[in-house]
Amino acid sequence: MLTFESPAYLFLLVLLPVFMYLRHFSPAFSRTVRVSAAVWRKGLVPVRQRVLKFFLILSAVFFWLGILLMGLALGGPALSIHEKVHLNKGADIVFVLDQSPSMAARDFPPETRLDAAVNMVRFFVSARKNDAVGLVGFGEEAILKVPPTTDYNSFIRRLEESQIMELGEGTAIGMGLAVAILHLSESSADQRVIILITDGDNNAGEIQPLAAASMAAQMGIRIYTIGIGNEGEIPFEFKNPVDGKILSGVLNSRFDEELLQELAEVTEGSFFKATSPGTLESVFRSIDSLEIIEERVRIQVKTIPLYRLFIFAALVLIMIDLLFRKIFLREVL
Amino acid sequence: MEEISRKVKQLHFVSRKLVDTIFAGNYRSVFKGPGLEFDEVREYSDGDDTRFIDWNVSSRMGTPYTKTFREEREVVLQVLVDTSSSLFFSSGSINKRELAGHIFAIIALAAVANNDKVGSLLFSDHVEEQIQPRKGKKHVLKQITQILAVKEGRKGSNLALACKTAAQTMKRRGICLILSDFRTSHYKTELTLLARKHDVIAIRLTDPLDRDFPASGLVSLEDPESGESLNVMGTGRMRQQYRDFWEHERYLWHRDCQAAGVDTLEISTEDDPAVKLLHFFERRKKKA
Amino acid sequence: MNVVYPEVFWLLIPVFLLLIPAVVNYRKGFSLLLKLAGEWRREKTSQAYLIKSLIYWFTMILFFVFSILALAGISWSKEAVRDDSEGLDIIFAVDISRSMTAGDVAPDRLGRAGELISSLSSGLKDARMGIVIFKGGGEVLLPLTEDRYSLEAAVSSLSPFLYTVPGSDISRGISRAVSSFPPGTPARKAVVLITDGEALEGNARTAARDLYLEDIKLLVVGAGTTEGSLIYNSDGTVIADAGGQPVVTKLDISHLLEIAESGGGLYYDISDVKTPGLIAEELRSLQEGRGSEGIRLQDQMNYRAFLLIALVCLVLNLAASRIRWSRWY
Repeated sequence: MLTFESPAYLFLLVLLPVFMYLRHFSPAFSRTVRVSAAVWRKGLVPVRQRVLKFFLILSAVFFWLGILLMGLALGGPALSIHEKVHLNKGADIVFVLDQSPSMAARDFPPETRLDAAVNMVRFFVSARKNDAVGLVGFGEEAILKVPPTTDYNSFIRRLEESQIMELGEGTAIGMGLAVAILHLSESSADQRVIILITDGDNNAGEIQPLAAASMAAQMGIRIYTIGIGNEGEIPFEFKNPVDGKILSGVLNSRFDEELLQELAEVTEGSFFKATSPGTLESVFRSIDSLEIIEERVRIQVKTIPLYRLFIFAALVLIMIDLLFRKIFLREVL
Repeated sequence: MEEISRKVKQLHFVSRKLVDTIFAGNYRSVFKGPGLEFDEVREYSDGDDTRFIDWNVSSRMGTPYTKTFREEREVVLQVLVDTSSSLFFSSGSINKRELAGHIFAIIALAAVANNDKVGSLLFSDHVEEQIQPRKGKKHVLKQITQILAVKEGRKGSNLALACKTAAQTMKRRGICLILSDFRTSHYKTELTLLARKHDVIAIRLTDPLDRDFPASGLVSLEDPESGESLNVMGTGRMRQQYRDFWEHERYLWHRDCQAAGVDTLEISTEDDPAVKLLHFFERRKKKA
Repeated sequence: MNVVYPEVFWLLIPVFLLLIPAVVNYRKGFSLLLKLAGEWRREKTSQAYLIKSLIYWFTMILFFVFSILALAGISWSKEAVRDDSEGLDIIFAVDISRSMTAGDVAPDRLGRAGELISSLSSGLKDARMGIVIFKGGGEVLLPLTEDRYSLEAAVSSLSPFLYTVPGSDISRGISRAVSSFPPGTPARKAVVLITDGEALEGNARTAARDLYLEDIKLLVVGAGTTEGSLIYNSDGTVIADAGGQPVVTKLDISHLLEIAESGGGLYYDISDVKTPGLIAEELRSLQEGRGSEGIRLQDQMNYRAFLLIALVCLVLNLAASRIRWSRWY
């Protein structure tokens, strides 16, 4: 929105018609040469130069537009942008994402479980405004991919880079949770949440999931667990990031529902089953509704001054008028 | 003022020489025609104008007798001088007003040398000044001074009014000289009336700028009389329009003068007025 | 006095070039006026036309000059602005070009940079920090976070091999740092630029000015020495240029000072032991500098005075056309 910082200066624009009168509608003695060009009681030499007249009007329009812009520039034009500023800290949410080979199963045709999870996380994050989000990926081992941050662009970029099996073949749920807990331990946020997305059994890592969960419970971190995928035989196909070979086959896996249920219970979180495309979405919706922090928001008006733009445009316009008259029309006086 | 009297002296000096050498004889012969008075009747001899044979006397005497005339002893020369601002115009070193002064000086001094009375009428949109015809060099010099002293700023050239006034004041048949740029209109009737009574000669003061506008960029012309201004750019088309307009004006002037029976002469600011006048006089003498 | 946009002064060249059409126009105009007005008033013509032309072009050029001064963003006074900021966000923009492996400061430039970040990390507990690395392009290594473990991990991973974009462009590092501040936070923002100043492309000064305009504090830290040092390949051989001469990399202090100046920031030398303390103090003062009233002083752009003068010149230009210099003009 265009606003003026010192609108009082705009009153100077009242002078504009005065100057227009001066330049165009009153005899400007200094710009004329006194040469007889008329017959008494018959009028001036009837010289018709319509094109010249048009050019002069055009040039004058440029000039006055320039002056108008100059006058507006005096008023301090600025683009003001209303920006929401969050005064309190939001929640810290760390996603713990299973990247084991079974996540390549195509339960959510045409997407794989991982694709579906990534899409839903992205959707979930794009609705966040003030919550820091982090990402832990796990397979056989677990690493922090994104620390809790409100820089959602960086988060989403890293999230999208997630690939099947980049962290080994196993499913180290406990390790994943432990990494997430570690990086949440320093957080000053009132609410700290881990969202675990997995499709299998804990079959790797030195830390048992329940041990990690009790650690989380002690620190007041809630864990939401999402079991992803259908039971039965599901086809899969993926590229091994280590040697680039394409692996495919049929998979018969199921997540450890009891374990996930327990993890959630220990930390006062919830367990969700996501077996079809629609359910995953509703799962995130319900997490969304559970994790609500009262927002304290201030609207901050950010102003981008535009006066330089105005002055520059005015300069160009007035320069065009000048050069047009003096060089193209070779104006003499 | 000093400058003017210096100019008048110079003009007087130059014109006097001209008048003494060339114009003195010519003047009377040129303005012979209508301004004659009956002198005597004498026997017709070969070469006399048959128009002037006095048939009454001839029939009485049995041989052809012809009337002889002599110039009217006193011919009044009335000069109508346009003093409007449009005369402050020329591309050369003298403007039309100065040119008018030169012409006036030459003719008036020639008239005075012939013992004629010279009067003048200075006009713009009204009659500015009227000087009664009188004899004498002093009187002429005074009038030259007056013409040269005219300041720019007078508006309009009401030639019709000037003609009317001249017609009213000139009781006897005389010579009437009009010095103007003829940037005026609606004077035809009055000019015709004047020409019916007097020998009228219209001298149009011209300048190359009357015909050709220089090739130029955008320039704003302010007409000194109307104060109107005009933005023009001396392009080919504009210059053609300019030339056409003034050519047409000149044609109208010429036509109106001829219709009124007024003799015309154009003198440009580039010309030597003496040469032009001499040519004119010689042409008229042949006709007479 | 501070000039934010010194590059607009280049515009003065075309403005003074206006003198060429002015002279040409004057000469052509004069010869035309002689034809139109005639020789008989030559003296008046030349006098009046000279005066008029001088006034016309003088006022016109003054108008352009003052307009350009208005564009230059000159400021000589401060104005009080409300400051409701809470907290502090710091992005470290770290140069990871090959020259940062030079050992003229112990252990090497990059290592020293890491030490600086670690020390600031422990000195400023409340701040959120992030790391942007740059070479020929910029990339977020660590998004803005409170998590100090990941900061430590990121610091220890700093190496020229993290990112494989050839070249060396400080401006991209700076602009990447600007864009990695998430919107909608009430925190004061600061960028700590750690580099040896060797930039092959990009205009770092313009990028630094964006920081100033966005009200982001810029601290420039020069890594290296002016004597410079050889740099080595991973196999231990000295890197040489095309002619076989060994490449010596030096700290380009003057460039860094320019960057700091156009960003309205400060310059520090990484090899000075006091530097971490000074930077920490400066960053802390950002939070506290606003005082109890929540008011902070900020440079005020004094363009209006120049603009008014420019407009007055234009008015004079118009008004001069009302003057009758002689009976004829």
